[in-house]
Amino acid sequence: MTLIQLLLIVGIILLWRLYAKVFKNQFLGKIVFVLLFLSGIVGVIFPDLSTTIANFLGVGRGTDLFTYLMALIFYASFYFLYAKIEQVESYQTEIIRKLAIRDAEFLQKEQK
Amino acid sequence: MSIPSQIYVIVPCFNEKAVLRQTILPLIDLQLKVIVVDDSSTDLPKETIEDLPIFYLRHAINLGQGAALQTGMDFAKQQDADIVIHFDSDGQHPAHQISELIQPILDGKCDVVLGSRFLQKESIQNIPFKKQILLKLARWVNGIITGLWLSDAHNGFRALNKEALGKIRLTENRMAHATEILSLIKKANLRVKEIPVTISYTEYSMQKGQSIWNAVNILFDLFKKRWL
Repeated sequence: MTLIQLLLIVGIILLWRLYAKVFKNQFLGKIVFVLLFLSGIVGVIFPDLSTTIANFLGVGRGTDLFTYLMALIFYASFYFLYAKIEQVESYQTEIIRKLAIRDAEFLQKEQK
Repeated sequence: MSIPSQIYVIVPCFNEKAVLRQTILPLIDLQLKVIVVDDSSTDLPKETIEDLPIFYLRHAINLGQGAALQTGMDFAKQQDADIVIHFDSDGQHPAHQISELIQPILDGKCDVVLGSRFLQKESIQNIPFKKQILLKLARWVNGIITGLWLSDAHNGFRALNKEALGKIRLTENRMAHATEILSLIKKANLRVKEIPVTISYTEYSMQKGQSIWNAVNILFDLFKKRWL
């Protein structure tokens, strides 16, 4: 095993801990990341395997296949995060609205 | 003019202190109930209206005009409103035309009345040329997106009856709510009518109003809503 392989495996394990936290409550998310995690480790230990798979899929090199997959994963993550932010914003709106209505006041201080 | 008592005018405001009071005064003269929704203005508009008989609600953080209108509508529902009117705080909307705006609802002919700038020649001449082109484009976008073809894009001057108030719930916090409301009207099968109104374009309102570039933002919000 070369040094880079060792570094990559340590990196993947650290990332795994992060993703496990993010997807704590999502079954599908967990499955996806278990698969990604395993394929990452396998890919690092057997680098030639990725080229074999790439060839099978009609892509020249394993590195290229990896790049395409990364792009897909990046967009998917972006989308999920965006959806999450939207959801949090709508909760926030509801809370702010409830507070505003609860604290509504009728003005007109001693006038006349 | 005789107006039934449960008519509420919702005035969302964000940093409009300079004109808020003069916008509200004619509404009070008409004996309408006014709900000011302060969308977390930083210029503390409350100071200028403290002596007026109105409801005052304040968002703890700035959410946008759509959110402010919905807050006002929720509050109006709680107050058992029969009709609500959306009214801009910058003084663009004609208070004297409110009676015409709500008449079709009082007659039971429709659920929602929208003000239109394009039903009368005089009111069209009133619109700056650049704005006219933008509005025509916006009208097409609205028609395509919502399926509701109107003579005007939105100018924010509208009246809703109780049924519409119950069926419409705005989720677009920012400016895209104006198109969202049209698709909600269409989906809920509410009866709509447009009446001619004159919107005044003062220097103040032009400065504060929606810029052409903002249209891009609105388009993005709408696109997102529909396809993302």
